[in-house]
Amino acid sequence: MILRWLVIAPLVLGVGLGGIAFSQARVDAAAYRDFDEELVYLPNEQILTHFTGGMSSVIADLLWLRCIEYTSQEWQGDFKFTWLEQMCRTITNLDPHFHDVYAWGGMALAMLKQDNDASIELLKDGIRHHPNSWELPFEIGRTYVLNRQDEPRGAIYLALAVATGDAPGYVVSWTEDLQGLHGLYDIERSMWQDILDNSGEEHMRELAARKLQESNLREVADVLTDLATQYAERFGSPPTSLDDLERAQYIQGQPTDPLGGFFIFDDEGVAYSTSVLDSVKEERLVPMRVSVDEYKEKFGAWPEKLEDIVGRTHATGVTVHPYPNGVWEYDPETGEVS
Amino acid sequence: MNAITVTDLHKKYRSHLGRKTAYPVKGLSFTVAPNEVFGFLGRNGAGKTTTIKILCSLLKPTSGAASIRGVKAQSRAARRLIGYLPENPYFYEYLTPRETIDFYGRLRGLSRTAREEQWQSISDLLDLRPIAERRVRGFSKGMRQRLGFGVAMVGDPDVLILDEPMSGLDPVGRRQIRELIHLLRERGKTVFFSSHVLGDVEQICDRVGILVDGTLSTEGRVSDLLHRRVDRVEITVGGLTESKAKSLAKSASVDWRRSGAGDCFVVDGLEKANAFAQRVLGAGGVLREFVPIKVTLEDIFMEEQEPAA
Amino acid sequence: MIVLAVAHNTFREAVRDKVLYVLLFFSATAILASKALGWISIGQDIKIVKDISLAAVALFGVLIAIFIGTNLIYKEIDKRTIYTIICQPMRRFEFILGKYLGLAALLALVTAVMTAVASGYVLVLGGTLDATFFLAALLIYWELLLLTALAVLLSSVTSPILGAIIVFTAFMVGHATSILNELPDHISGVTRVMMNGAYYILPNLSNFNIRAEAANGIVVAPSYVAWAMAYGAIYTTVLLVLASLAFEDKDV
Repeated sequence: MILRWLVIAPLVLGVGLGGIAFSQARVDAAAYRDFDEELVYLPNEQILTHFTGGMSSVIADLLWLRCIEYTSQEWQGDFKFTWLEQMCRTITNLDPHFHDVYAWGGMALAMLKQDNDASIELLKDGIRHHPNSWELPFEIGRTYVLNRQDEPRGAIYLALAVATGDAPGYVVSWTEDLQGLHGLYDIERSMWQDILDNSGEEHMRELAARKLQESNLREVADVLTDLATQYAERFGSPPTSLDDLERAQYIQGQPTDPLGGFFIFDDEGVAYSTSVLDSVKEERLVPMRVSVDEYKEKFGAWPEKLEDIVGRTHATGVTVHPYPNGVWEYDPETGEVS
Repeated sequence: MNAITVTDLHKKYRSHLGRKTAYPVKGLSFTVAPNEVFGFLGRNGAGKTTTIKILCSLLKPTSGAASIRGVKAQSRAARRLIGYLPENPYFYEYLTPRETIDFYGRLRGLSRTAREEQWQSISDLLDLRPIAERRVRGFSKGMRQRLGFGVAMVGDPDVLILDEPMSGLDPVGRRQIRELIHLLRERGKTVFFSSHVLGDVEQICDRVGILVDGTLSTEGRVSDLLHRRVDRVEITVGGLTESKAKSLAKSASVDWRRSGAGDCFVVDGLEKANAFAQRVLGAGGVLREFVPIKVTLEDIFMEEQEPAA
Repeated sequence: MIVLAVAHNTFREAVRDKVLYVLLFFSATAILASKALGWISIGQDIKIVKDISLAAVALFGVLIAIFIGTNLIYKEIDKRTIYTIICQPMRRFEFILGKYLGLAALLALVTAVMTAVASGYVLVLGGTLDATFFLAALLIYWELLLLTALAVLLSSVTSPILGAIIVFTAFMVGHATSILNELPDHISGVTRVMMNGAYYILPNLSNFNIRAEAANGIVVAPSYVAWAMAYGAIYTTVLLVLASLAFEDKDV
């Protein structure tokens, strides 16, 4: 029995005390000092995250609160955010499921610290753990577009955000605008094709299939718009329909829409595919319907006019109807928007 | 078959760092017959409690054998045959005597009805009814001892093993225990107990064993042990002059002293004492006291200690 | 049944231990106070409440397992209440098992109460509860069962203080074992093999830790929970067998 104690106790104590001593050394190195000084240095080491006694998510929370404090202090002070990246890294090492840290951290790093690389790295890490989150690729996309003026690359990430199916209307329209602007149809199509081929989820494949077709239609609409511009230069005003273009011999025959829609022009000669517009309309209806329902819950009755939801619910504005000169139909009796 | 058989029992304790080794029991052998009351005597540290603990499966012997009614003492079957009362028994303070007896009944595997019956008979016998619903926490020594006895009797075991059952009790308590042991013998039980209180042992035991330094130095029937010794007789006489008394003492080779009560002579043996008394009377003395001094167990006990002391 | 008699008695006695109520009070306070931290956050308040609640259940459960568990057998020997029990016609391991089950029942009660308090609090604050939250509590309980078995084992061979130190060390080490799978590259050869082997021998308490998933509302596969429970059951059984063996030959 003594032999048992000569082996077991020292082994247990040795390993335990070794770990405890090691953590202690790290804790000492990371000792909290005033924010005024060169403040909270959090070692970004994987090893530390092992010795938390199972409390890693609580420690992540506490570090996150410290991080928020730090960020607001820097915002009112030096505006340097020196340790922001390290903090976010440590927190996400401790709790990779902590989605908000990726989103907020990514945004703060890009917008406040202007450290695009750090922001993108953090967000990419986040995407690995949260493949279904729209916020994370959206942040990356926004960083590329606004901070780096790299619209093509940004558009790809935005498309990823849209692909999750959760992205709100404004994200979707911005994405389309960017893609239209840069003729990124090939890149977009390859992405959708990839999803169509490889996604394990039924609804993703259906979405990808439709999006592929819409992408084609948008490319056609783009071409039609270019032609309309030339027509306008020649005739002084843009065409009103495909017939005008055909008669003027800018196109031979009218392009068809496999989804059953057709092509229209607005007053300025920009061409649209009605199938695409219908798709966009459906997407934009979602947040509006949600806001209307919220209104009903909050005030006990459907709003009189659609505009009433502005400022009263989460809607900051009534979304633009995708059709040129289009108007939303709203029935105050039933709360239906269409 | 003997109630208890111990053969060449040894127990060795090694202290944790191997420095000191203790041998509380060294080559102990004795037997206890069925329906016998056996007193186990010894000084503090002689090994009584160790022996008892081995009999009750609390300790394992280093070597040697111990059995209860032929069944090995370390086995479950043996434990079924015994009831144990430790020195200063401890129970769960927050239980009442009724709950305590019930608990031990469950440990013995008794059914609810059996446990109820046990409670009735035991509480009657040990006068536990008045304190049946009070928590053990506030109990006096006497009450605890009675409860401990009750616990030892749960399951009606044939062999009762008691470690210092009278220690710390007042005379009333001691008498109660003595009477209980009597009763148990009448019921056919075997009682094996250790004690310091030699007077009680003398009164109630059939046989005794004296443990010195881990081995048995004396064993036998109480009456045999006592009768092996020669009685002395103290004769107190009046009416003699000092010189007369002195010469009488010298001629008979007896011890003599003079006190306020008279002349006191100590003579070995009843016959010699009678003869001496005749001479005293013949010399004109008057017998005031004629007291045979019985050898007590204490004397024997003390003698046994001498080699160890 | 003898085991149940001992268990019942152990439960009754442990419920009387004042340490229990002190620890319960502190854990309830911690849970209720966690909302205050949530005020500083930007919308993570429910997550923080859930995190701290589950951590409180885990930590205070461990402390109860340590303080009461390491005393379990030792107290009986020290107070000599064990004398009249060991001499009864029962097997020694029945005593160990009974003591263990009594404490396990107490821990079940404590864990359930604390989880209920935490759940109620989360709902009052407007959060939602999902299956993962309760599975996390269940696995916490499973972890406590393992640590209690260790405490009982130590209780029959050593003093409560040394036992407490060892169990607490095992708790910390048990949550750190993942490091043995992520060794730096310069460790190789025999050392690496030994460390990898140690990973399988030491109790990997992080198996029972799905608290981060619970607080973040992530779904955990039932098969994971089932395997973790199987692991715990086997490890706990081994420890109880060792405890019984240690107690078998013990001089009382």
